[in-house]
Amino acid sequence: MKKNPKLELRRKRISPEVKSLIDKSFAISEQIDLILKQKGLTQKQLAKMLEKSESEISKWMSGVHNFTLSTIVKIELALGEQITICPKDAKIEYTFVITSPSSSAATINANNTNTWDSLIYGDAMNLILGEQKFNVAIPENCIN
Amino acid sequence: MNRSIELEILEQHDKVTFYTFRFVDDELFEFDKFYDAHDNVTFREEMDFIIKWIDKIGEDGAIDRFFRPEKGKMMAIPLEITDIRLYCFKISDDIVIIGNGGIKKTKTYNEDPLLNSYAENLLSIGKILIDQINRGIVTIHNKTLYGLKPISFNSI
Repeated sequence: MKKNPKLELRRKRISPEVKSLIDKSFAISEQIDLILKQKGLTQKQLAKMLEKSESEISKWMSGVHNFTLSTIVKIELALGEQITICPKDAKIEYTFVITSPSSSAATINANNTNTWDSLIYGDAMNLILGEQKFNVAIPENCIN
Repeated sequence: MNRSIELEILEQHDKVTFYTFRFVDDELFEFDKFYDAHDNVTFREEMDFIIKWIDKIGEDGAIDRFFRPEKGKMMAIPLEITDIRLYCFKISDDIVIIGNGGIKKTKTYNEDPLLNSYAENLLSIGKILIDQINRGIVTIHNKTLYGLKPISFNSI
């Protein structure tokens, strides 16, 4: 894919702070967008719920907004859903569909190591995270 | 004044191809003019934002909410940290033309002769291109425009 040499050089000088800020802002706006779609709500309705202008909501959804914690909390309370979650509080549940040697499916809570016992080292599996599917093999150190 | 422009790919990303354009009687492409005017100490953070924004749009697609609406399909990269505007024309979710821009010092871009020319010229070019796509003169395949020829229009 074609890349502009001038921009490629400039990319190396982008401050880590800006990189991280935009990554997080995009992630937050995508999460809000997802929740709105799941709940059948529009940005206009969210604006009304929060007594904000539509243009303010548009800024939030642009992917380059510098969210304050206060704003995030207000959105979370209005939508009744968490937008951000700290790693410590995250409970990840993976759905493994074992494709070899058996085709049985197993839902595994990654935080509960007991559930890993049913897996066999070397099994090839599809790991489904949300709508994304990955091919994985069980690493040796995952199974006692 | 009747002038001609030619479009060229600025960058290709996973989900978006960014084009820019050059007046055939100019040496530089419009995005290069913007870049050269703003890649300095004063606008360092703004340029960081703009380039990172290009990368994120390139990853996620040119979804409307990532742009500040201006007029029709002519939009701007929104930056809250400053009044800098970089004008874009969204052909589709995977093709965006990036033009020129600058600091917005007036309430609307129309009140600033320079920004007005950047925005309105881009709007004219975009409209002609959309018409050419609709008539099958220019086709889109795999995030790329085919059949492009210089576009003549009444520039501001």
